[in-house]
Formats: sequence, C-alpha cells, structure tokens
Amino acid sequence: MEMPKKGVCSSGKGGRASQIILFIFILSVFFYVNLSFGKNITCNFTSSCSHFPVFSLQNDSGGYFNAHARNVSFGTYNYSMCCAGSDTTLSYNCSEQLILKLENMTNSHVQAGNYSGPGIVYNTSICMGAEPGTINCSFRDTNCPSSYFCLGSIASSDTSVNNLTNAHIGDCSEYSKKLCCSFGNNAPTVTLTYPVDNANTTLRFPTFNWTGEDADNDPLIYEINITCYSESGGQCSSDNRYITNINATNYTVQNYLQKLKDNGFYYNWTVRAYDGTDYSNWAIFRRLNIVSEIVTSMNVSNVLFGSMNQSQTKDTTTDNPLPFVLQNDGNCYINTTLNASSLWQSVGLNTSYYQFKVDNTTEKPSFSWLYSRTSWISINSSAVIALASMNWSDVLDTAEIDLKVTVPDNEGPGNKSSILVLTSSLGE
Amino acid sequence: MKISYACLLIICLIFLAAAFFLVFIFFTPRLVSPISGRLISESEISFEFENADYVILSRTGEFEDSLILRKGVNLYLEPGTYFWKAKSNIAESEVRNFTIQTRVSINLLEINRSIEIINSGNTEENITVKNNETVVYFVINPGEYIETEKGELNIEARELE
Repeated sequence: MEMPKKGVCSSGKGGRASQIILFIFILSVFFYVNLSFGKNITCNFTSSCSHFPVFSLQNDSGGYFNAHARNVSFGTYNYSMCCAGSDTTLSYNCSEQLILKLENMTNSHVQAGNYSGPGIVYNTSICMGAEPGTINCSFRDTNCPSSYFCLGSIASSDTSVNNLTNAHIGDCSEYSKKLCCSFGNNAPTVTLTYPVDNANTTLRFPTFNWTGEDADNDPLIYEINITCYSESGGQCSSDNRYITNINATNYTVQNYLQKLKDNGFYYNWTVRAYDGTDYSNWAIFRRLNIVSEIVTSMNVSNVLFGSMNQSQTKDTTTDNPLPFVLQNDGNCYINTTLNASSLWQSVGLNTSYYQFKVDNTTEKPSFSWLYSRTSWISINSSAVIALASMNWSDVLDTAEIDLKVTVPDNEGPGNKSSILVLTSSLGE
Repeated sequence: MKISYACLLIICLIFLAAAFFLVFIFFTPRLVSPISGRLISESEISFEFENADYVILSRTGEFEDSLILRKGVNLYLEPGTYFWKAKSNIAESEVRNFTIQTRVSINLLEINRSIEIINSGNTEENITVKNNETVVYFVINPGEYIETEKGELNIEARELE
C-alpha cells in the first residue's frame, strides 16, 4: 500500500469537487475499515514519529526528497520513515528482512539490502521485522502493488548498477525504483512423504506421513482426507475419512480401511495444514492400495485319538484329544474349506464314521455361525466351506475344528490316518 | 459414391450399439446356476457364474449379513430362502433367489447288537422308535445319530416343530 504524502490532496470548489471529496471520504472509510481488521502495517514519512522509525533521511534543505539517510540508532533527522503495526510488533530484526544498506551511519548514500556488487558493499544495515507475521521487501521499477506498502524510492548517478547502490533516497513518488514491502501471514505448505504414490500395502491400519513447513514458524495443525474410489469409476463414499486437528506429522487410521484392491477399490489421500490464520493447499494426493494377505496357522498339526475298538466313537469336543484351532493371521476375512483323505479301509468318506464341525474358542464370534458347519457333517474328499467369514482382528481370529471318528464294525486292526486339507480364500 | 451425413450417423449409431452390446456380453456378470426361484433338496450347493470375481450370498434381498464366495467353493446351507448375485470389479449381476428345502431322512446302520439311527437330513429330527410295547423319542441334529437295540423296530422321523 502506497501512502499518500502530506498535502497531496486539496479541496476544490463546486459540485464536482464535492462529489470527488465525498467519494474519497467514502473510499477512506472503506480503506480504514479494511485496515482495521487483522494484522497490518502502515508507513509514511513524518517529522514526528511516535511509532517505529525505520530510518531517517534529510536533504540539504531539511526535507525528505533526494536525501541522504541515517541509521536511527545514531539519532533521527527531521524526517523518518515511520511505521505502525496493528496486531504485530515491529523490530529491527535483520534475520527477517534487510531493507537497505548505508555507506555510513549518518548522512549516507544508500544501497539495496541485497546488493552484492560490483563495487563496495555497504556495511550498515537497515532492517525490519514483525512478529507475528512476515515482511518481504524488494525494489521494483513500477509502483508498488495495492497490497504492498512503500518505504521510499532511490536513484543513483551510477546507472550501470541499476540504481541499486550509491543512491539518494526520497519519497515514494520521487524516483522510479521503489522499495515495496508486503506484510502478512505466509500460508504453510505440506508435502506427503509416506506411503509413496500408488503403494500396495497389506496394512489395514496404515500410517500416513508428511512434512509441514511454515515460513512464519507458526505451530501447525493438520487435516487428512482419505477418499475411497472404485476402479470402475466413482467413489465408495461409505469408507471416506476426514480427520481434523492432527498435531503430529503422521496419522494412523483408527478404524481399518475396508475396501480392498482385490475387489477393485483404492484410496486417495492428501493432507493440508493450518497455521492459525491460513490453510495450506491440499498436498498433491497419493493413491494407496490395500491388498489382501491370506495367512493362517494352527496350534497343532495332529489330532491323535489313541487306541480304539470297533464301534467305539471319540471326538474332540471335550478337548480330549484337543481339536484343531485355526487362527487367521492375515489381514482380511477368509472362508476356509475342508476336505480329507479316507480314514478307514472298510468304509469310504462321506459317512458318519468320520465327521467334523466347527466351534467357537474363547474368541467369539470369530466367524459367521449361519454359513459355517457348526453341526456334525461327514467329511468328504471334495472341499466344502467349514468356516465362513472368519475374522482377522487379533482378539477374534481363532476357531475350533472338531473331529469325530467311529470305528466301523468290520474295520481291521492297524494304524489309521487321514490328511485333512484346509484351504482359505478371501471372504470379503 | 456419395454417402450422406444421415447415413454416416446411422452407421456410427449401429457401431455404437454393437460396442455396447459386446461390452454387455463380455463384461456384465452373469448368473448361471442355480436358476432363479429353484427349490433345492440337497444342502450342499455351488454357484456358477460368468464375468465375475465373486458371489454375494444372503438370507435377505437387502444383502444384510452376507457371505462372499470365490469361484469353485461348495457350501452347506441350512433350509431356507437365499438371495445371491455375482460381482466383478466393474459391475454386478441381477439378484436371484433359491430355496433349500427341508429334508427329513435317516440312515440305519447295524452295529453288532444295536442299530445306529443317523439323521441324514438337513434339519433337526424328532425320531420315534417303537419296539413291541415300548416307545422312545429322540431329537437328533443333522449328521448326528443315536443307538438302539436290535429288534422288531418301527422307526419314524419327523421334522422337529
């Protein structure tokens, strides 16, 4: 924002002049109202600076045109570039913005703050900082943009260095090279780090990682948006996640991601940051595929019924011997089929002499009772579903497989054995 | 030969319709068996379908409490009506239903001096065994059995009410 210098406007006569004055008045009201909200900085040349004098300047006649400058720590001239901050505190913080360099502490030619040669680089710095907020200044060969404030203009007899050194300084309207500064909050930025784009994972509770940066060093909070899509097009909105107020730069989903790539689904995830004033843009989203992992284990690999007589029946329902206990160690619901080889020589499979059923362990319900074989059924050589929709969460992922054997009347003596085959497949 | 724009448009439309038809034929999941409304007396059932990855089976038409089955898996089902449809990653089929009928049956096995009465049906059975003047009642679950002494037996099985 370029501030009008003193005495620029003078009132005219007649109706047209009154309209202009009225218009300017209305404009001023709006201008004032706009500046009254939030953080802002206003600056102008004044002979009585009660706020923050950035630097002093004076020409041979005591004015502020075509002048030499002075560091205010050395005392002030008649005029100073005087700034006032609203909801922010101004300082001479050189780590934030180096505005100008002076050849001497007083009565000095000036140089652009970032000037690095050719010729001498001055060593007296004029700096300005604001907290909270950030000041960014640069020299421009045009008027300052409307959202900027002007700290003066400079010109040098040495045009070969683009008027940037050995220069006089004056009011903003005096020279074409103007010192324009912006003030405000820098919006934070977010970069996604892990998982990488289009990653396949077997984790149903994945952790998302990112980094956040804020030029103002404001504390950041984050939001993560996890959106489920179908490969056939469209969203599977029933499993979208939108989490706010995350204080860390990672997030682990609390309820498992339900949709598997096996079934044609994937997730896009992105994060944005909030610094208390502004949101960052959403980071460029990444795709994540949740793939199934089917892994099972059993506590025992053998069930031994011991010695039996003809017509005698034994089963594992009383844990003597112990039944098989199947555990779902994977990351998805599974269906498990069972088939077996013949146990007896005198009778084949699919008879009441060799049966199975499934039952709960202490972890229940770990499978669909409705679709599983929970009552005795004859074992066959062809696979049938024994356990349907078996859970995979650690506290509900085991089930018993009970066996019942009856020795046929005409079965001869000897060791009898059968191999049971349990085959698990994706059940979701 | 001169072809008018109208002819070109018609040809394009025919090609478009053919393309849609081919997509429908080759990519839409199709149910083969069991056919819709079929009454099935066997408890073991398998599903045949085309252009799909899996079957969704449920006791309700809204597919609540459903079971997902991949190809080549057989299943024992309790008596009742079931709904099923097939799904691929891009489309799903129509919904069909079938009914597993209640089947009451028993098998008898002679073992030494006793008879084993096995419930070979698919529902709980009420078994009545009459031996001369004695009448004994049993309730047997599917696949389970009871033993009784040999003799002049009159055995009757009914569905448990």
